[in-house]
Amino acid sequence: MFSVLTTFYTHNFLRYVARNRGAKLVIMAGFFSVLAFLIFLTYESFYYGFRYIAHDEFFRQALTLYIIELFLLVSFILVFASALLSGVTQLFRTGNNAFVMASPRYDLKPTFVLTRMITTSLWPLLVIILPALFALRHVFGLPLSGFLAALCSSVLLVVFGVLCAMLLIFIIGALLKLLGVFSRKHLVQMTLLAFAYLVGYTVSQFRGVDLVKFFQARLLDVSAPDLAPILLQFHHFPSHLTALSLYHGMYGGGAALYMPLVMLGGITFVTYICYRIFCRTHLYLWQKSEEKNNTGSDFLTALSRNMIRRAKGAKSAILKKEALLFMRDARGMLWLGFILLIWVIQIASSHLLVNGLNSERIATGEALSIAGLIQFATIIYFIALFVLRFAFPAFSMERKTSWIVRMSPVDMREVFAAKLGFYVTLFGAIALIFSLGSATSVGLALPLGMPLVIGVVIATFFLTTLGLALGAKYPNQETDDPEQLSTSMPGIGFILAALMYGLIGAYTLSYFAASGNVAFYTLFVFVSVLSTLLFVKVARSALVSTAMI
Amino acid sequence: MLKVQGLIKKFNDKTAVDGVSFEIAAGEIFSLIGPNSSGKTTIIKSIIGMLAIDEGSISVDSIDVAHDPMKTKQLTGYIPDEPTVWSGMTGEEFLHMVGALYNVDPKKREKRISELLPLFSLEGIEKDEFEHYSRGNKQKFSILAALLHHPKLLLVDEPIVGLDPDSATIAKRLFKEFAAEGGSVLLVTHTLPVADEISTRIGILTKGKLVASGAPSLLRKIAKLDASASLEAVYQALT
Repeated sequence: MFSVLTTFYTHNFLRYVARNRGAKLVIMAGFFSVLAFLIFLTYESFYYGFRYIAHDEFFRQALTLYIIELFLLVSFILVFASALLSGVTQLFRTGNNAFVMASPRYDLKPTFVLTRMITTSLWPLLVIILPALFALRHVFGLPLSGFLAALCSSVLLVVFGVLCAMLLIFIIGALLKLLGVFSRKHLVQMTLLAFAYLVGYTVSQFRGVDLVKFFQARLLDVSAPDLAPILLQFHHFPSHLTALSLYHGMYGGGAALYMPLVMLGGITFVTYICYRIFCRTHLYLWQKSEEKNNTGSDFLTALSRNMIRRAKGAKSAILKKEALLFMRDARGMLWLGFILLIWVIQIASSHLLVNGLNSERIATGEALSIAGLIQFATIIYFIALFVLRFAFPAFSMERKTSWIVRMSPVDMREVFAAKLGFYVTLFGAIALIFSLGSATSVGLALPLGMPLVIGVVIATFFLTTLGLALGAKYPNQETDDPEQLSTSMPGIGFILAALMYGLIGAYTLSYFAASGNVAFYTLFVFVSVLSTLLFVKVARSALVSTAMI
Repeated sequence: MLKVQGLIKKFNDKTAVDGVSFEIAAGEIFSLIGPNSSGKTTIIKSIIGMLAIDEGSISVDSIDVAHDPMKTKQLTGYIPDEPTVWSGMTGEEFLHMVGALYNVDPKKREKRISELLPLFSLEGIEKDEFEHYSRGNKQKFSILAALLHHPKLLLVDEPIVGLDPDSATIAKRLFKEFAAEGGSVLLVTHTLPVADEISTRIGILTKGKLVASGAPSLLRKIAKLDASASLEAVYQALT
């Protein structure tokens, strides 16, 4: 069965490449170019960061260990959260695997989902981990044995994270079954609750950390900080074992290098056994999930119930339809919640860092410019993610339902305006809330905080319009899966454009913060507004010309 | 009500519809029958304005579809062969959505929907989401959506597929009543008995060309078959 599925997906991929081969090869080349660029960027960032740390004899060991611990912990949380999110949606969704569940080998479905999740979680981590390991090798002379041990440990950490997520889903499912209240909706709610608890616990471990005391920065009589507080802080997270492998690879070796790897292998194996036991409940849980039940939120369903009923005219109906479907898209809402959570973690980290430094906070123009640059780039990054996931596919996702609007007496320009209105309002509100949160978390003063907020709002308009316009001008006729759509040629084009735009915007803002010269930043805002208007014009004329093919 | 003259539609080098002409008067049900890829759906999509034609002209109530598509769409109701609707939307919301797209006032929509739902006994499931509906129920909602704004012309692509026998009977009755009240119906179907039962005239399409057209009795004469011959026999003789 597994080989049948592998063949099916391989053929699926080959069929995808077979049609419009030239265009598809360009898409793949674009995808790998972006990937190569990201790998290069990651390597360069780690390389220069580590080189900077390596110059400081006092902090060198402690700071490297702390960064490795934090980086691996965040990576583990992301893998775990992503697997949890995919698990609750994929394990109980029929999709293309209906024939698997109808066959005598229905028990392969969870294994298939597990394999898929490990694969999809592994490659993004490797894209980051590998350049980081190479940077450590080049800066700190990480030996080959340490490099390989750390790589194996990272892979094991991903497998362990995915297994933990699957196990948690099955344990919650089994508990709900035992209580006789299992439904997909309850499963999603309880899983989110469990995840929120775990995140809360993790954050509580870092609250109140005084980084100055932590690194013993004021102890002038010691040659290097004691590592015990760092080890103590992270020792109950599984990522600590991978961090230890890496650390011992750099500074130790021998048994100490392999011991954490063996321990991680051991707990991964035990988790796998538990997973095998609990995944036997899958068939029952899947059958119950097939029964008609609403997976969306009761509150959002109630909120959206009368939306379309009250719509007056086409524009209002389309705008309300976008809002309604957005609120009822359980998969999209989980994705949105996941990304917002990462954003909250990022803001909380900034806040903890600033609080952790206490009186040591630096308020020079240079520090402010760096803070402004990082905040702006981060906000643009998250907004670009939202646009790519929701606004960019908005027209392609209408592939099979487009007949409803196209048969009606509706001007396609109104359709574009309604969709733009919805996404700009949504992302604008999110960007505004988070930019205010970011500015407050790092203590940006009004003279810089205000331009940051204005810039973010303008940038949100720019990115949303660009994403929606690209999606309208180049609608995809082959898929309506938003994840697949974002890796299409226009999707990759959007990623590149958003990257460049974010970098330019962040640079002009940091230049303004450092020098007080507002000219470049004003020019950036002005060009953003003009470009936004141009995107609207291009998209509207494209939609009018393609209304009748 | 509907006038199609010398319609030609090409997809790249392939001619899907090749010089088709026909008219449908008020009160008539005209059925287009023909094998797969004979151009039936292409004709319907051209009339509704979803496809731009290469040559010829189409007018609805003497208004050219190419010149004023907004007006002709307002006069037309369309029932697609694949009634795919946003899965997160309920049947009732879908009807409101279509009503709003056709500029029907919310209060009038409310009243009209309460009149339409009992036609297929859909009361009680109208608040369920589309993804939970069977194909037949999806089809029923798409039929009601097409009737909601009181169109003058109804374009129906495969009306019976997915409907249970009782619902199929109701659908046929609805189309007949619509025509009896002065509306015009263009029906595209593979289900020949349906076309035979409710059509005033039938057109037979092959390879994008209208090879014969007329009342069922006339078609039997053209096919040189007796009056009791089935439409299937006529179809086989003429295609």
